[in-house]
Amino acid sequence: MFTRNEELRSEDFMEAAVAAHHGAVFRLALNQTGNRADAQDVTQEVFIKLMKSFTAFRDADHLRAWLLRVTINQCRDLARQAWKRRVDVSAEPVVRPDAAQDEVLDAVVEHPVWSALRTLKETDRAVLHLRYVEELTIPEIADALSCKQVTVRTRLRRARLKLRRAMEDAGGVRGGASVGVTDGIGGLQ
Amino acid sequence: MSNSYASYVRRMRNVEPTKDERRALMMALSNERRAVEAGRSGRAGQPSRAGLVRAAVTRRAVAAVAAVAVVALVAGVVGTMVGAPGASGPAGAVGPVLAAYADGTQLGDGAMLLPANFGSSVSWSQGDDGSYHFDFNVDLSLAERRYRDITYTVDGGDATLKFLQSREGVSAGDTLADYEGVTTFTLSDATIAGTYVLSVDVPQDEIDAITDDPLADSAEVCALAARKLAGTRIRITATDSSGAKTSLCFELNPVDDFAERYARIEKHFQEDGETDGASLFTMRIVE
Repeated sequence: MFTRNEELRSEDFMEAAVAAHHGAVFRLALNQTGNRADAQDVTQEVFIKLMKSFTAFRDADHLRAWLLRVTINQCRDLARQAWKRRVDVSAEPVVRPDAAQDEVLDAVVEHPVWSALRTLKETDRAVLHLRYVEELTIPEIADALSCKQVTVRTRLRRARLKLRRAMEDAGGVRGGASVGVTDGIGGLQ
Repeated sequence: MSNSYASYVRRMRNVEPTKDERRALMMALSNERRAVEAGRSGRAGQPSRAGLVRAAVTRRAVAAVAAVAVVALVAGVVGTMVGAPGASGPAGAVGPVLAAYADGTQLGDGAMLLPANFGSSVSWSQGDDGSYHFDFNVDLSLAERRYRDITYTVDGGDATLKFLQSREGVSAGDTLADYEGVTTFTLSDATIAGTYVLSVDVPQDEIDAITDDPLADSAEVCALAARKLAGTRIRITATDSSGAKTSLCFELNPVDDFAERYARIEKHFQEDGETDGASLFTMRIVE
């Protein structure tokens, strides 16, 4: 299914890719950028890159890993360019979410873990998000983040520790409760 | 997982793009597809492009292009302000002298400290293979407008050139002088305004060796890329109004304290939206 013969990927391919992965790309972009408007922009740019890319995908998992990797890179690009983007010529209005999605997003943003996550580096947020929200395996995360599996494990341990400390500082975790240090999910140490 | 984190994960998994967002995405893809296909067919009413076309379709991309356009405009103004026709160019050099060189400050070793806007706008991204790609906006316009058939060539080194002609004044059917990832290109005359970029790639392990957070350490990262440009020679060959063909070769080097200066520029820009006037590169004529 995920192969490429034309100069631009076909409309059928793109519709299938958007249907299957729009949510994951958007959530990761939201996790990285922290706001819906930037997440919309990043998501759009990621799928445009997909439409123009020459990568031959082995399967849907390969496509997902590619999309998530490009999303991470796109979010980094956005942050790097922020100081140059003070010239504001906003051309397209942000697509407003409906009321139901407003509530869903509010529920996330108001959660104490969201605030604690904002104090972490982008790489730490990404590895936690991919592991627990998107439920990727260690090899899949390594593929998405373009790093070794041992690096993913190290980053996960470090990120969980930082998150726990951030939540302790904010008063969100008490009595030695932990964020994943002893969770055993996926056999993590 | 703690209960708190588990509840956060459950909420986050409920976040989905809305129908309107899905529709907007599909429309953006459709628009991009049409733009690319129209560019390929070179249909009437669309400017044809000599080089690689990158369409700006998102709000952010549009803003970034606008920022580049400002740089191009500044470059154009500088090019207009300096230099009058004459037998020899600024700084006594005979031949096609760069406006930035002519506008520079003479250093003790004979090199010129280039104006602050030269190379101070840097964009970078990480490719699928992990390597980093850096684009330094540089003003390579000539100090004098009397030249034609101007050929820019990178002599040695790993840097490549990019030139995007300013869209101002371009009519439907015109051929635009756009080049990307080349080591040489030619402009038909010195009045063509546009954005010049010097690009260089840096392997991922070299970035990893200096930081585990490139975004936070962007000054160090850009300094590393700037050092890759050290010693880059740009040869310019052009024909003047009398028909004489002359050539000059300029060697580019970053200043020793590039990282510190770049950090100050970035900080200043974030706070005030202005650069602080610190120069980042020097240049000397080597032939």
